[in-house]
Amino acid sequence: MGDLKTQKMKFLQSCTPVLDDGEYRIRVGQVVNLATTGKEIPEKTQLFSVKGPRYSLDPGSIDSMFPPSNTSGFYGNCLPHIILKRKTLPWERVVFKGKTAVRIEADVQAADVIPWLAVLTFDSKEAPVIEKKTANDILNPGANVVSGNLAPDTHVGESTTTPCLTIDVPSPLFNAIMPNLDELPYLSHVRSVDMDYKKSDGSTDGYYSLVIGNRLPLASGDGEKNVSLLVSLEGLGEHIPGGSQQITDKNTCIRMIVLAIWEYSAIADKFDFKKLLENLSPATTLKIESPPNAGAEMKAALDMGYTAMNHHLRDGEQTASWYRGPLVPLKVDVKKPEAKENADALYKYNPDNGLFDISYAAAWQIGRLLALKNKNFAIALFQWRRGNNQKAAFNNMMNILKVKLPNIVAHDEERINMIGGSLLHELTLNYMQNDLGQKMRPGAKDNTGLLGKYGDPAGLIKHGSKYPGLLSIEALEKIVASGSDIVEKIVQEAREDA
Amino acid sequence: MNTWVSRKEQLMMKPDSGNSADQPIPDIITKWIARIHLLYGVPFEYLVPDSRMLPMESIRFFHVDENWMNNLIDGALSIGRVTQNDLQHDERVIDSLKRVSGKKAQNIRRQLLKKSDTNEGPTGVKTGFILRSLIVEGWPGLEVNAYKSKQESSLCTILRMERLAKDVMLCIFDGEFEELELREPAEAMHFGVDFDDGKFLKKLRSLGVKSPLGTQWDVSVNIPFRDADNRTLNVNKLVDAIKSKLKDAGEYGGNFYSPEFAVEMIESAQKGVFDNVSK
Repeated sequence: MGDLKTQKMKFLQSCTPVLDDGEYRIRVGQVVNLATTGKEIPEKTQLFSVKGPRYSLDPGSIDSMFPPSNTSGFYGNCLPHIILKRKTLPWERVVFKGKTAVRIEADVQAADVIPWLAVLTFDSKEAPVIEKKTANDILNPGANVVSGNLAPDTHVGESTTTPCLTIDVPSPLFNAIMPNLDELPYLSHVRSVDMDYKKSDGSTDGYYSLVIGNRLPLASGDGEKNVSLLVSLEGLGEHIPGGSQQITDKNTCIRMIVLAIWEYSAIADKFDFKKLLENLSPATTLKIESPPNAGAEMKAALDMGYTAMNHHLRDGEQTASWYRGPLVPLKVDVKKPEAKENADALYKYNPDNGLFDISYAAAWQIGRLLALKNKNFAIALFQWRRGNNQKAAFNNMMNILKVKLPNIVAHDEERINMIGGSLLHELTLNYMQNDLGQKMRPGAKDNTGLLGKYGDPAGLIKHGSKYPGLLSIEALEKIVASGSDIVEKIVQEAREDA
Repeated sequence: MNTWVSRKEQLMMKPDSGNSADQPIPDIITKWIARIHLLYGVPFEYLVPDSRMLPMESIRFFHVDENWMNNLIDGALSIGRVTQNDLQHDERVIDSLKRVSGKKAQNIRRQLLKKSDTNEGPTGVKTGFILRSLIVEGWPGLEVNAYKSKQESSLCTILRMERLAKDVMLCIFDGEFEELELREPAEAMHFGVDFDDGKFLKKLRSLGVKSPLGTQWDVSVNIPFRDADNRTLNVNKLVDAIKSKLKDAGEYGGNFYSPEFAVEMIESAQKGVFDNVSK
């Protein structure tokens, strides 16, 4: 975008092809002057043909058109044009029957190289019907129709059945809008652009040919449909205004091959871009201009971007409150973001005038509504927060334990991190049975510590049937080893102990 | 009040509680908040609550109030926030959430334009303009350049540029700009005539004989037409008229063919420059 300042463009008058379309023959012969051989090297002939667009144009060879196809805009002042990727295209064929193309050597300017292409623009009332026809309809157009009488070139694969699109333009319209023969050279040129600044698909070398129309589209208030056509003038030279055989009979039509069609709608407007820009002045900030009779307080609020809004309070009362959106006319100091319990916490009350500032409360509320509308976000947020909270709760408990029971935690930190859940119980049991127990009853071999045979710091022992894991491993082993009625025995064991 | 954990003990606990345990913020959350940063989805009435702020054919500059954004984001986070724990959690994460998602907001437009992501963080200040004009409707390819300063050519990154209505466009930049340039799209360069006070004219350009090629002059020619409807140009008469003006100005170099005609008839991309009054 900024690069455009340095982008360069060159214009050339024309670019004529090195070879005209048609069939060619290369003959290669060699004469050997050596007395001893007496042999001749045989001649070799190679046929080739040069074929350019004639009855139709591959859309891929069109770079762009203006006005852009199927758009509407203020096109009433523009001369429609088409940009072709083939730099020689407008000069490949000849408008006069039976003549060959004028070749221009490098650096020689010549005004009389007449391009065979023209851009014609029609509004919807005069637009001729575009018909599907064949090369034969160009060769033999029939009564009351004049054409270029082009004979298909069978050497390059053309035949009388080669399809083409055509228009028949009544002679009065044709004479009125067709550029003069000596005007046509002004309407085609070659443009070269610096490819460094363009996206490139390799289909051009930076040279384009352009054909410009000589007629403004018809514009109206609601937009007027116009069509521009790229037409072939091959063979029609004498009938073009300025030629020797102009068609004066009003009932005769001129048939032309259509190579490209683009439609658009032209809106009439007395403004152009520059004027519209000028109309934007003065460019100001986003706020309401305070009326001349506004009080100082009102003016200050409006200048800061506030708007007075009707505000229905929760108790049904109606008041006016100040509101300001996220787009403000001046720079504001940014505070650290905070989490609020509800939007009401963000109401700002001005005791001097009894008015609320509801800006941030409104922001909070709309943020909440937007989030509620987006299910994926809502679920992801909920799960993430819950996960974090669970983890935090665990960490909190750990921190409490670290302070309250430093010995326990220090002893078994690794294990704690593994088991997580039934932490307190596990820890206490372990501590009572081992560390503390050993200190109180040094030498006790059963490792039951302070709590007797079966430690029960959480008072779960009465519910032994629900928590069979509370029994010591040895007790369990004994029961299992006894064989039958295992559950019964566990319960019994637990009760016995209580 | 007696609590199990004394005040002193609470203080001892503090350093370890909280966000070291937090899992990384899921992408889906930061991506959505990144869009919120650029006010996607916020109804237009929240942005421009009163039509007097944005009359027909006007351009209005603004700063984005980051406090408003903070509350908008907090509102979004508030769903499912039930307990004090939830509130504390959000209090703890809102800052980093805003930072991470703000960085992602830098790439939303890049992704729309199929450009690769940038690692460049935001400046922390967002500015922009709202344009309400026929320009928005008639020039869909409008190009916007916001220059950081009048002297230099470095540009503020466009974070969001979007048509909100037929004739309203919102544009948000990263950072502050001093000068804004609106220009016709370069691809819309075309050939045409000027229409002024009911007359078709063409302002001429220098052809590089005396002044640099393409310099726009204040000299214009009347456009000669063939028809009464003023639609079909009389190219020959037009060429003669242009030639004679060029000769008068000493700009005629002896040749006037299709390239010279093209240079004269081009409607170059127009542009307008505005000072940012909100800075």
